[in-house]
Amino acid sequence: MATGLKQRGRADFNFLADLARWSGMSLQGAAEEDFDRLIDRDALPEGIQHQIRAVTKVMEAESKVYQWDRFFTRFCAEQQFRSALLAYEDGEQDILAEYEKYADQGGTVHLNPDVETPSYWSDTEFHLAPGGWEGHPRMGFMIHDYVYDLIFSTGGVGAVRAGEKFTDARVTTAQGGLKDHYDEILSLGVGTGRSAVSIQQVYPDARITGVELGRTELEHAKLVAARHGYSWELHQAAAENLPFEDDSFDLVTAFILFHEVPVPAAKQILAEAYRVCRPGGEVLIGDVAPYKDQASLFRCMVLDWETENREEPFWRGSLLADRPGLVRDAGFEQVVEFGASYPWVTRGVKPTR
Amino acid sequence: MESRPQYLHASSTDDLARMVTGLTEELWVLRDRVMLLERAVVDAGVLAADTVDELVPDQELAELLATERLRLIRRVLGAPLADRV
Repeated sequence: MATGLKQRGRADFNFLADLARWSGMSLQGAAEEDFDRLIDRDALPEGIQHQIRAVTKVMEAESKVYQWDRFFTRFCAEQQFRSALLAYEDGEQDILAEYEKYADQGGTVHLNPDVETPSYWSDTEFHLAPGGWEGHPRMGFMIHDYVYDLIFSTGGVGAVRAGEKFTDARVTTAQGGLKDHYDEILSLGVGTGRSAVSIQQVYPDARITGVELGRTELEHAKLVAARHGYSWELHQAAAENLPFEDDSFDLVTAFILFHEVPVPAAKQILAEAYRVCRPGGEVLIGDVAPYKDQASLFRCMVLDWETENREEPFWRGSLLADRPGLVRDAGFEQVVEFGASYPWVTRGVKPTR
Repeated sequence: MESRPQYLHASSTDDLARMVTGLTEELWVLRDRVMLLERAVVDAGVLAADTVDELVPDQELAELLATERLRLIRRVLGAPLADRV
């Protein structure tokens, strides 16, 4: 069982995970039947954004099963952090003991008390986390070990379809690199280290550096590294303003970072990624596929809901943006994209001089 | 789309709030009894104080719990949609 988890928390998370999965499978399946019956595709407006708006209006008004699916999805999104807080209270002693046990392992966290946090990050309660990513001294723990491991991992939440394995998307993205080995890998928006684990598993000999604005996330990433016997350099920094010299890394990665930032910030992040990437090195981005690459308009509609309903204010902009174009504009060449609804991988190569 | 007959007129929010509050009250009564039962079993020396808290269901129990949990979700939360899911 997860660190500190007692009966109450386990039962609670089991319930929320099963509710999300049942809604994502059974209710969404029935809702898609309604979609095919209710939507007159010949009458849709031009442009994906307008089409999503039009079909959403119809489905919210006329599909009872879609209404309930959205209600239960929102309910789970609200409850998961409330439940995580209660579970944390019950297990705090065990949780803090584990941090203490691994205090000398997992690498180094370089905190920067003067880090300039962009307002889009500090003012947003991403995923409805109360107070945002730093809304609790151990928010990193709760997000990783409780919310993600015990609810998201079973699927049916956000872009992770019910029945899909949550961690597979990170491994798939990491495997998108051109080479079998990299010396120095940078993980932008490393968070609690979940994608860094996948990267290390795919490239076991690489040295991994991560940047992240959130202190509690960085501290948990170090614990996650320690649990796996890894050692990472973890820096508190904005991806728009990296504390590294030019040409420092032969692979720069970002997993589900770009849908959490506004497009102007994405441009700055890619400019920095280019600067710190070595000539001949690569940028590798894994994220939710843009709307143009999603399998169906129904799927676009379900995903678009995240923007206003799960505190993902930059989701729609990211999924409408020309992601390979942004990577090319930053100077990368041989830009390709491939994958599935999630993950969708965009890769570019920094030209050799 | 709506194949089942309707019996009730639209309820006020107060009516629903009374039902939910009454349900919470009964849930507490049940939870209180379970906590007392657990204490009685511990005091009788049958279980340690933290046995239930720390119990990790084995695969058989986990599957049993999952089956009953999904039944609960389907029957209660799926009640308005019983003809569709």
